[in-house]
Amino acid sequence: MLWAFGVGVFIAAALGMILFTALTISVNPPSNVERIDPKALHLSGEFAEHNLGTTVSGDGTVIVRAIATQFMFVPQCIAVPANRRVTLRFASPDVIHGLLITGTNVNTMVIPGFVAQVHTEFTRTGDLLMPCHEYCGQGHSEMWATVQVLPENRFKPGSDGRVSCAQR
Amino acid sequence: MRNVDRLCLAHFWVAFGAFLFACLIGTWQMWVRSPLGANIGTPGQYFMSVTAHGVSMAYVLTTFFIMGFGYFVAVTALNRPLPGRLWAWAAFWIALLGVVVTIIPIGLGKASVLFTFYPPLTASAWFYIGLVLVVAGSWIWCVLMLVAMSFSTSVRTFCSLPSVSPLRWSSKTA
Repeated sequence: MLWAFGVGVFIAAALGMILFTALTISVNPPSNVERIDPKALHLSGEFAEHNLGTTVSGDGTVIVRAIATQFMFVPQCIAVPANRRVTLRFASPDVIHGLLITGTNVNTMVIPGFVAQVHTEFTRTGDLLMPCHEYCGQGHSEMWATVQVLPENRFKPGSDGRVSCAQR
Repeated sequence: MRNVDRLCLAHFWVAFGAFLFACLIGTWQMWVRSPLGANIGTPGQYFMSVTAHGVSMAYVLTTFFIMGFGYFVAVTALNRPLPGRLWAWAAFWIALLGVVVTIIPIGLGKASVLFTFYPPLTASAWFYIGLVLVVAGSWIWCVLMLVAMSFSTSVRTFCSLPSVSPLRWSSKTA
């Protein structure tokens, strides 16, 4: 009885921690299910080369699109605004990848055949590391990108609504 | 009574041999990925060793330890010899054959997929066949554990206790 009670308390504590982090710092699994043909990513549509990177649409929505592939992210640097809701969309043409952005709640797998989508708000400006965190082959540890969080006054979309990383 | 001493020892030799091997290559991995050992080894060698480390720790150590420990507990707690000892040795050799069949493609660099597989990356078929043999050996062990229990009158005593508590159980048998 005592053992069963102890195990019960342990399980309740573990579930409580998951619930607490989900509610307070938005740590929860991405819920988007959206299919895409991994063999035709590069041919047309939103993941064709000219659509990759950061785009601000007419209504001010910020959407980032990137490809995760063996062994790099395209583009290798992503510019985002601070303190504004950002939608990140990823797709893979080859094997399963994953990514996280250090110090944020962005953390998702990128599975070929599906679009991985997460929303977040970056609160601190500066360069963040975005490594691949799902073993994808022998170049896995060399696969990472930079997320450049820009203050609002430096996040300036061009006439086509696109934003690239600042050159240094 | 204890007709399983050599059987248990054989399992523990394999389990802790794998553990020692995994400790050594684990240390090597930390070394080459630290500033001390920068530029030693190739990514191919690194991920080959990570695969060997994971297979040794997660499959070989755990499976062989639980099999050997299970046989030991069965004869000491139930206080009777283990039934089907030939089956137990067959399970040991099947699982050990599985380890050898798994290690060879890893060593040849044809199975650097880490122990959790990461589909759709694929290893040589022998990698998976070897691991299946390890699991098959442990299934024979599972059946032997059930057989050993079902032949024991102690089981009935155990189940008729008003509260099934491991502490009470051990104090009863001591």
